[in-house]
Amino acid sequence: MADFQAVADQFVQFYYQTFDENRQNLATLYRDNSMLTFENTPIQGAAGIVEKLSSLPFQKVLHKWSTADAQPSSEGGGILVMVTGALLVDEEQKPMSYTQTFQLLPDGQGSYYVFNDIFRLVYPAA
Amino acid sequence: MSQRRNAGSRNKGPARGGISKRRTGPVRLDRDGDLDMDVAGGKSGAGRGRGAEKTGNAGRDVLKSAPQRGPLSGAGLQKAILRGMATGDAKVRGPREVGVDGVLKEMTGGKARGRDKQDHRLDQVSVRGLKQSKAASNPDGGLKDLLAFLERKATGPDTPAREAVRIRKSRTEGEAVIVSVRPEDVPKLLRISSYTFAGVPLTIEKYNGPETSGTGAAAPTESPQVVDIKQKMTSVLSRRYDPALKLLNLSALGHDEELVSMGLFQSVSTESKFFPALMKVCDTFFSSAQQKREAVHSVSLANNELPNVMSVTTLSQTFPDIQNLDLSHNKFKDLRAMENWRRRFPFLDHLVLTDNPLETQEPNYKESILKWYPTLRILNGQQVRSDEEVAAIAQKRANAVRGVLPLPVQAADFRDEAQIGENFIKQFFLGFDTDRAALANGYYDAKSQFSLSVNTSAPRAPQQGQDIKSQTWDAYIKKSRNLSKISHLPARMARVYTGPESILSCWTSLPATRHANITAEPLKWLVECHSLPGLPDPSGQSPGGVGGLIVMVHGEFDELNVATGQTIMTRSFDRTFVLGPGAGIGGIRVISDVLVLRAYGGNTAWLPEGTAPAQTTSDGQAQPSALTPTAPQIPENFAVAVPGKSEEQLQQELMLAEMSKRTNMTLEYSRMCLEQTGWNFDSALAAYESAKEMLPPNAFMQGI
Repeated sequence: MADFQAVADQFVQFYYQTFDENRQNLATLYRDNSMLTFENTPIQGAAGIVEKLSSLPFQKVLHKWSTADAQPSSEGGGILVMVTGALLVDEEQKPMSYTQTFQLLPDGQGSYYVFNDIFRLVYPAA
Repeated sequence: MSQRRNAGSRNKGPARGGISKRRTGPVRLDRDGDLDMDVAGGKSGAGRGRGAEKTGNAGRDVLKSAPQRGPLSGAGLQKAILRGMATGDAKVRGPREVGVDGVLKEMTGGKARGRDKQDHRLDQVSVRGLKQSKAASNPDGGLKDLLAFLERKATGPDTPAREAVRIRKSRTEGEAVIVSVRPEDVPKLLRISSYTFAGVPLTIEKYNGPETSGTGAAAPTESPQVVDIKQKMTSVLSRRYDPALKLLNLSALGHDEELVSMGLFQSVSTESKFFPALMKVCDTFFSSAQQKREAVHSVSLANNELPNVMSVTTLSQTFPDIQNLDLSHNKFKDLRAMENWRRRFPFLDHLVLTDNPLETQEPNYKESILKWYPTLRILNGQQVRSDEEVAAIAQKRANAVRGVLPLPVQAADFRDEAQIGENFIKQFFLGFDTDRAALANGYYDAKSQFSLSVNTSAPRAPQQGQDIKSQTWDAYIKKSRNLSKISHLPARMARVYTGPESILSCWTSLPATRHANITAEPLKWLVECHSLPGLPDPSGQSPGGVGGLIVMVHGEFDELNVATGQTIMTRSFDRTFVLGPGAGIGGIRVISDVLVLRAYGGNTAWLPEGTAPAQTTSDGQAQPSALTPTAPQIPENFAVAVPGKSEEQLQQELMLAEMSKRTNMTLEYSRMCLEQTGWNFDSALAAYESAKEMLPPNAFMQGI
């Protein structure tokens, strides 16, 4: 089994880099049974999730994640990843703290997809 | 991920460069460049008379969505432009052979976009007094010494090196030195205003753009060429701005004699810098995004032979809120040509793309355009989305951006099953505070895992009764399993605790805690809960796994001194549990438990609307919400400039306020401290640090 921590590590880096560069490209990380909970809005399915992420009311975004931790979680080799960090949007200079919990599942082809994605702002602005 | 980049590199090559005189081809343009909003058939007539007709017809679209709103009318803008013009040279000069490229570079600060990114997180502060100081006679005018002085004083003693104030950039502007620092360093610099540098007290203020003394001309440090080009561009812009329609007409720029005479289209290099420079000049007319929004509703870039929007992409930064955009009569082959503006212009109402090759080469482009511009109502003069639909989107957005946050803050999403999650949370944190052994044995089994990490860089909310500087993590940091910091596999594995014994041994080594009572103080908590299928089944009966819950908890706890029961400090935490059916209390077991600790961040992020919104004052300082301890009584007009108050008194009050804020001492004690050190803030702070243990309780403001 691949080292779940290395998977989590790579995933987090890839996820935020993609998010900040062009969040439409996150589509490849979700499947139709994926579930995003953005603040209190639940959305299921890759298409809807990417639509939601793309339509967030900002143009530029920068994630600065501070911590990431992971544990193996489910029967099929799932990985629970919890990230905390700060994000900057557009010209806003005050970072907002967030936490994001992912549940990654293997896609059967040697890779992983996001099954759960739970995003939450925990501190509005410093 | 690199689609956009690819699109960019595809666009290099011969067809690069945007607005061009050299590749004229057959002239088929509207020299007056009226924003041809009804150009469904692509007719491109010309002439003022027709323009007037259009104002009555399609112009209605422009006007309908362009009500006179704010105080800055179009006429105001024009006046501003004319003011700039008054100092300019209206005559058309011969072509500039040398230096245009360099001048444009100077104007746009080299690479326009690169600079934007870099400056994104820097704030500017103006410092006055250098010219009068003794250091002014130094070879470099004293600048180096001044910067070193500012960094040293603003940083203060006892500051870790990585938190030291660093001046990233500096420049002079008239009497002032403008320095760029990280936003968090701005207050530190403002605090040392009136400090004496080389015999002269410095005046340090937030920088609010160049001074517009009289002429409104460029700052004195700019080279004459820059001033000259700026004035000419101002002249071009004023000629091309229609205040009645709020239209900035940038069509057929390659045929604008004034621009051509400036030598702007002589090389690829100047061409590529021209538009960013023009936008930069536009920016100088406005002091706020609001003004821009009100002055310019429509932009035409028709007839510019643009192969794509690369060369004009800065339009979306300077005028992000325009409602009408005319891109007709360009050379867009396909939608990739507009890739850079995908999902830009969030308020776009009317877009014209007629007479571009993409009409025939990519006939289905309209679908994508509709997706890219969710408020687009009219495409090429035809209604493509109903007014109601657009209004609904606008409403949704207005709700979303309500308040000060770019993102809405929402209540919890709690999808519990049979109160399992709720009961677990109530019992868990009580158990964690009182009997961790019972908790570990009650909910955790041999396969349960626990790990914790410390987010040392999370922002700290204003909070009384606790000293900002003593934010130490000694008790936790060795166990912190932050994968971004711990990369060695054995080290990572050593920081996961599996099974009740191992987990308990970790918990036992952590400081004693007291979590807020979730029933009594629900606002201090945010708990979310979702069902989660496919969890391991300890009984082995369901090979596909069993259903469980994923629970996210955000909250705060007091760290206690076990001997005295006193609170040492309050911290915030985020914790994720995965719960599944098992042999533990209530038939459940904890499968995963991931804990993140961070500095106290308060609960303003998830307070429901209307309870106590996070307040932000004009200087960006977060204000304590109604739920954080009440602020002490501060005399009216304290630390505020009012008539009759001397500058010295004001400075002292500012220092007192800052001292009190940093130390939590009362104003009275803050004054004693500052007076004893001759109103030297740093010395006073150092004195406080060394004496704080001996101070009586009434020296401090009463917290919590």
